[in-house]
Amino acid sequence: MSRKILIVLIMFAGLAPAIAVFGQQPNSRNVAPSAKAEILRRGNFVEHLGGDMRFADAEAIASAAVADVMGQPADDNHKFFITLITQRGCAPCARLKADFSSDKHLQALVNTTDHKQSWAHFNLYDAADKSQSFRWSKVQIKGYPTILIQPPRNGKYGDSKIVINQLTGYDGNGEKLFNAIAGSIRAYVAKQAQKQAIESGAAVGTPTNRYGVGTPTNRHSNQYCQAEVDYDRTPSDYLAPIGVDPPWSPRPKNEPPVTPSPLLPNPSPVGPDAFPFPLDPDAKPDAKPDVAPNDAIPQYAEVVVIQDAEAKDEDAGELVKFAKRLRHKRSGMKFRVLDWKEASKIYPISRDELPVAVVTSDGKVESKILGRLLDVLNPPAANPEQPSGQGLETFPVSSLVALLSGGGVGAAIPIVIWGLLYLRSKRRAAGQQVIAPQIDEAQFGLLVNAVVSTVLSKIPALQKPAETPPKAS
Amino acid sequence: MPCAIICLLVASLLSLSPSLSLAQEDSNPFYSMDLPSDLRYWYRNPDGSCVQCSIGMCGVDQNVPAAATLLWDSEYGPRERGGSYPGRVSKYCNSRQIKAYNITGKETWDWMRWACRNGRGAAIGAGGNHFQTLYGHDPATNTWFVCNNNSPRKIDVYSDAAFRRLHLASGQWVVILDYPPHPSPPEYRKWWQ
Repeated sequence: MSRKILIVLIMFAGLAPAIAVFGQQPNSRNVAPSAKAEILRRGNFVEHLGGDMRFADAEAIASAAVADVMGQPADDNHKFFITLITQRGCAPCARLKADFSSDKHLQALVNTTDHKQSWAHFNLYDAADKSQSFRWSKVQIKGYPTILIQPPRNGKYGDSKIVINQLTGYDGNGEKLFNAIAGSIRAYVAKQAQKQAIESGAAVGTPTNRYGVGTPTNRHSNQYCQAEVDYDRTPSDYLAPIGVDPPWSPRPKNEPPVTPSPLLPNPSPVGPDAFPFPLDPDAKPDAKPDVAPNDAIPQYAEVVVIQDAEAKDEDAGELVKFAKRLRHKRSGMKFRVLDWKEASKIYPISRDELPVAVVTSDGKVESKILGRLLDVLNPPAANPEQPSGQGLETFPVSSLVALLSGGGVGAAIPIVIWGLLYLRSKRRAAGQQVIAPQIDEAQFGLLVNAVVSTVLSKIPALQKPAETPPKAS
Repeated sequence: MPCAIICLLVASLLSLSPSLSLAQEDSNPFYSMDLPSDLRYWYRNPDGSCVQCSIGMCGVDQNVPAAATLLWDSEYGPRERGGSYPGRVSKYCNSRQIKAYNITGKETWDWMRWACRNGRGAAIGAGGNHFQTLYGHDPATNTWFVCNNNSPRKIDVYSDAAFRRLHLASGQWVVILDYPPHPSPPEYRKWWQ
C-alpha cells in the first residue's frame, strides 16, 4: 500500500510542473514579465494619469506629480447623481451641455471639469451610444435632452436607483433648470427625512416648514428634441472582438457643431402635467437590457464574413484575410465576422454557401463571395519559370466532384468561373484581345462571380430553400 | 490505482482555481459595476491584452469612451494590444488623456476598497501574469467579486484569503479610472407618497 502511495506522489510531483506551465500565461502577453520588476521598482506609488499637461510648465507638472502621490481621494458616495442624456445634432442638448459648463446656477450643482469639486456626480450620455443604452431599460425617454436626478449611492437618502425627477428639454434658462433640479432634490430629501422621522417615532412638522420648500410641482416645459432614438445597431455575435473596429459606435470625441435654431418660448410640453413623472411609474419595461442586435442590414458599407462556428473550415480564415484586404481598399467600410446561426436571420444565405463574405451597403446586399471560390480567385503565387495566369493546378476539383454527385448548380459556379479565367489567361498569354483588359484576374473573377450569382438568383427554379438554423440549446 | 491518480489530479486541478463559486446574475447589491454579460463579453481577452480588457471594461462602466475603446482603433487612438506594464499604461493613458490612478505597492488593498465603496470598478492584477476587473466587494463578509476577461460572462466570487492570493500572484498593481461612477440603474418609484 505504501508503495502505491509513493508511486502516486512521484507521478504527481512529475506532473505538477507541467500543470503549472500549462496554467501559465505566455510571457509576451497579458501582464508582461517585466511588470513585476517594475511594480517593485515603483514601490508604494500612485501616479495620476491623463491630465492635460500640454500647456503646463515643468514646475506645475512637478507639483502636480507630488500632489498626486498622496492617498486616495475622499469618498464621494454621498453625492447625488445628475445624469444628462443627449442626442447628436440636437441644439437644446448642445446648449444645455455648454450651460452646465458656464451657467453660474448650474455650476452650483455640477463642475464639468473637475468631478471632485462637483456637488453632484454628473454623467453625460449619448442616446446613440449602444454601450450605455442598457441603463435606460427601466425608464422612458420622451425627448432630449433628458435629465435624471437620483439619490447618492451611500443609501443615506434611500435607494440610489430611485428617480427623484426626470426633466425633458431645455429652453436656455439655466436658473429655471437649477430651480427645478434643486427643488426636486429638496422635496425628496424632505420626504425622506419625514419618513425616517416617522419610522423613528419623532414628531415632525411639515416638510415645507423644515426645509423651506413647497409641494413638488416643478414642471419644465421647454424646447426639446423629440425622442426618435435611432440606436446604432450592434453586431450580433462578436466572434472576432479582435477586429479593428469597436463593436459599437462610441460617443464622438468632438461633436460636430450643431446648427443654431431659435429657442421656442413655449413649446408643447413633453409629458403629462403632473410632477414628478411624465410617465407611468408602474410601467414594467423589459427586464432584459436591450443590447440585442438589430436584424437589419446596416446602412453603412460593410463586409461580413459568415461562417459555421461548428465546422472548422480552412476557407473561413482565407476569406477573413480576403475580406480585410477588401475593407482596406474601400475607405469607411466596416468588417466583422458572424456565425451563420445569427447571420441567417439577417442575410439571404444558405448553409451550403458557407463560408461566405457578404458585401453590403445602404441596407442591401451588394455581392456575395463564396469561400470555396478563393482558390480560383487567388491562384497560388506564380512560378517565375512559368508564364503567369490561370493554370490547371487551380481547377476546382472539389466542385467537379460535388457536381457529379448531384451538388446542384451552385457547384458548377466555380467551374464556370475557372473556365472563363483559364480562357482569359490563355488569350492574354497569346496576345489576343480579352474582355476588360484593364482589370487583373482576381478582379475579373470577382466580377464574374457577381454576375453569375446575380443571374442565378434571378432564376427561381435554381434556388434551394433556405435552411432553417438549428435552435440554440 | 488509476482511480486514485485521477482523483488526485482532479483535486490538484481544482485547487488551482481559487474561485469559491460563481455568481451568475448580472446584478448584486455588492457589485460596483453593472454591465450586462453581453457587454462584458466585448472585453474577453482575445490575444493576451488582459490589462486593456480590464481597463476597457471599467471604461464602459464609467462611460469613458477613450478607455472603453482601448482594444480597438477609434478616434480616441489606435488599439492597444498585447502585454502591458505600469509604464505602458501611463503612456497610453496620457496619450489618450484618460484620467486614471496607476497604483503600485502595498496600498492597493485600500484603493480597491475605496473604488468599490464609491461605485467604481478597478483593473487589478489577479493571477500569475494576469489582469482582471474588480467588480465589487461586500465589506461585511469581505467577499470580493471579480470578472475574468477569459470568462467575462460570469463573475467569480472570492473569499478575502483567496482574493489576497489572487492579487499577490500578479504583483500589487491596480488601475482605477478617475471619473465619476455610473448612476445606479434608474427606476420609477412613488417616493412622494
